[in-house]
Amino acid sequence: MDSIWLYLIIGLILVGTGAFLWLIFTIKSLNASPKKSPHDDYIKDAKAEVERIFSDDFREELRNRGRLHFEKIINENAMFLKQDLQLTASQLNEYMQDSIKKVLKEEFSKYEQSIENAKQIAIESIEKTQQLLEQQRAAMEQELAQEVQMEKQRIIKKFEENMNQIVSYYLLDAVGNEIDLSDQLDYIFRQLEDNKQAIIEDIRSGS
Amino acid sequence: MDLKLPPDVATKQQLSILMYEIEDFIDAATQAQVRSRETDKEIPAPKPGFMFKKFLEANQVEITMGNLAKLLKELGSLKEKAPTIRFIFASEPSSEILTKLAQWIRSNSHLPVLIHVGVQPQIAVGCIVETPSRRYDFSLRQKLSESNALLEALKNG
Repeated sequence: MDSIWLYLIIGLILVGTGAFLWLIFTIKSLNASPKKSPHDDYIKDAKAEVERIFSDDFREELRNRGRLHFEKIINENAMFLKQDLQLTASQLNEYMQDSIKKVLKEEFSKYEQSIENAKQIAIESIEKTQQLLEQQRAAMEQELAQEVQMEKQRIIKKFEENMNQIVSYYLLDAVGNEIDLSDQLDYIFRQLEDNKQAIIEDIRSGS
Repeated sequence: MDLKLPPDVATKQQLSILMYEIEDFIDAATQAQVRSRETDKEIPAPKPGFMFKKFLEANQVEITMGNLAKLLKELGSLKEKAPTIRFIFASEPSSEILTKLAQWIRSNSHLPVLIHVGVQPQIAVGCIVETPSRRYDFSLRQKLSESNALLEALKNG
């Protein structure tokens, strides 16, 4: 709307200027013409009237008005432009905020999901490790029980094998010097008698 | 010379003692002879040691220097070549025990067997006899290891 007015005023100014210029050219051509017609006075009067109407003050006034109106229109348009810009900036701001929020929300949800997945994997891994450890513990417990049993058997067997030594030691410790060799002589000679043949043959074959 | 070792000479050490005693006797007799010739007095003959005395009792040997020298040589040979038998006891046996053992062995084998003594306290009771080719374990330890029934009874309380 305002631009229409602007164009209108500019158009009027241009028309006025055009008319003025046409008048000037016409007057010039009338002045240049040697014939003086009866209309020349009218023309001269019209020219003088035009000169009188479109005086410098009038033109200046017209120029000032035009300038003021132009400035007013420019200011109004500038204000409108400023308002539009502000509105656009705030809309853009809002849009960017929304976009960023949306993107951040998406990223955070992805991050949360990946953390959840990692946590799940870690839990599964720990559970598997726990199961494996449990199995190994059971196997080791069994193996240890077997080893202990075997060791126990071995010790008992060794004890039984050495029982005679243990008894001998006990007897030696208990009896000690009570049984003299001379007391054992009967037993020794009995043994020698029982094996006399073999002993004598060995001595003879060795001599 | 057909020598007969007395039972008192049971071991190689005792045989060595016998030989030392004979050597001492020879030396003493030689000195006595020399002194007797020098002093023109009769010097009493030296007395034989314990082992030598027992040897003389067991054998009919005329005590002359020649005989004694020959005797020493034979005893030396006997010491090297006589058959030996090893007895291992729980403690050191007395000479009486060795005498009895030597008597038994020589009377049954008719050989001048010498006894070699060893000590193993683990035997506790009894002995181990080692001949040139075999080993006879007459110890209580061996008896116990042979007696499974006794061990089972001990095990079962």
